[in-house]
Amino acid sequence: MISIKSLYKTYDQGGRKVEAVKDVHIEIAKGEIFGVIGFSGAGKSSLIRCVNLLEIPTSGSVKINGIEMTELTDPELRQARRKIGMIFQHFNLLTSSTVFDNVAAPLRLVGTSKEQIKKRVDELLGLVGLADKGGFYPSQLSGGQKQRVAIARALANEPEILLCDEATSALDPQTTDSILELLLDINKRFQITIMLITHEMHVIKKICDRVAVMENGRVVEQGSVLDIFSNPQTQTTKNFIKNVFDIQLPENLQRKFRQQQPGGEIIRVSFVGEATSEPVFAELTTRFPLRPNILFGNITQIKETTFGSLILQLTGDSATIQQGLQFLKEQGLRVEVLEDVE
Amino acid sequence: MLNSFVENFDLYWVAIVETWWMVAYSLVIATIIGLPLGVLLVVTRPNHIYENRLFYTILNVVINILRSIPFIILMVAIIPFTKSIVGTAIGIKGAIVPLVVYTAPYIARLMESALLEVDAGIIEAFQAMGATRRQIVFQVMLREARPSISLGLTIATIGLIGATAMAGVIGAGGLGDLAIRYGYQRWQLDVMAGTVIILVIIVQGVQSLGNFVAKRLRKQ
Repeated sequence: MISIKSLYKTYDQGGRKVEAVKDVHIEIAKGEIFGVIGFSGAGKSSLIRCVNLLEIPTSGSVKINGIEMTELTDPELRQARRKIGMIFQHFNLLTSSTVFDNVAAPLRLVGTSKEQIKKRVDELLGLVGLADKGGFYPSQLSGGQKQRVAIARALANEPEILLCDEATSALDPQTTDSILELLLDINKRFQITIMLITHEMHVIKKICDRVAVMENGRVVEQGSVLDIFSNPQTQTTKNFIKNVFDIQLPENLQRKFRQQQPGGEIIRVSFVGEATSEPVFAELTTRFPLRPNILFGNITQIKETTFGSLILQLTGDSATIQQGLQFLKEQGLRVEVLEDVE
Repeated sequence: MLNSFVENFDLYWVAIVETWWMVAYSLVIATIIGLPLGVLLVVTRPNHIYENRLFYTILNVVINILRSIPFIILMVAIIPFTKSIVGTAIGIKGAIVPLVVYTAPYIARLMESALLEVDAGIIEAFQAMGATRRQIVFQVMLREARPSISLGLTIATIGLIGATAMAGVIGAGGLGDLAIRYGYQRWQLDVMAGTVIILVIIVQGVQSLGNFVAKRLRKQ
């Protein structure tokens, strides 16, 4: 659906070249929710603006449904943009228009008839849960409600793609969740492909299927959210994950446990989905003369999948420990022996 | 004071009507010229929808030059121009031309600052939804800036009322002329005071009306 290849965006700031996006390759499938995460200044905002050509790429290719966006004429580009909805951090609603008129705006641009506008806008306001707010002005609404209006507006022309530019960054956590649920609902109901950028791992974790991590204009890591979460490769990714999902055991604690129980191994066990509901460790102790001591645990929901991680110390003789680890692997768990931190 | 006002009522009334026509004509024509210039000053600047550096720079300089000439000098300096347009350089007709030349660049600047207040994010949102540049100017920028445009025009109107007083020098008539002839040249302090009071009331009225309109538009 969206295919970004060798994309570069360079700004000229008073003779000084700033490379905002460097050699980015991203493929987004139809119906997918794809997240781009990065700290501010990582280039994610430039990247998402290159998709609908609000920013013109310096070089590289952006294809939507096989159509090369960078080669379109102005009228063709406007036509294409009508099928790409976009929402923003600061909502960007017309302050001087009612909620109804804001949602109607994209329909009016293309000369939709009055009756059709009325019908479509009522439908959209119902969809975002603001059926009774048509006559209100944006200043009378809360941040979450404003973003709902913006979402209704973005969906007016039945787009195939929705671009979300830090759509929840100005909202409190509770409102963020309700907006994310709305986006997920829209994605499922209309099979709309969503590309979002954010600096909050929580957003990625809650609704994204796949994620790209950006740093200094480059995508340093991308893949399914589950893979990235369970096996982060770069320090940047680890930093993001740490905020929502800390699976580190402080070093001094590790050292202390090793001193108290020499001869054992400290291991990390990660489990995904169904494996979580099996009583694996009870099974482990009945089969092998091993004593697991749970040091640390965490369980989290990634989109609709459960993902858990445990750090435990296994004591017993080393041959049995190896057998135990093998057993855990056979149960579909990911097992990692933590090296001594000396 | 009141007696003098009643005695000279006809004098005042004629002057008020003359001022009204001068202001009304000049304001309408200056707005017709100044508002599009204000729009051009915004949309041709770098990184805007009709970016054109050369045009923007020239327009900017021309407006600055016109804005730096004091009205009283401008009025005299363009007498040939005024004559070529309306056939005379005196009276209400003769005053309207310099008033427009004086006010249009002023309105252009006021409209420019009103339009610059429109959130760039809103313009971006409409670009993203496939709006044409014309739709962005008319349906987004001018629409969103309506409260500020109304306040800007209020300021321009009050400036214009002040300028019509100076037009009295070229025998344009109006309240300013009355104040100069009776109040200053004949030293009839009661007439001068009466004129000032009327001007104060008019300016108050215009400002209140402008505020009211802006508030109605911004009520949202």
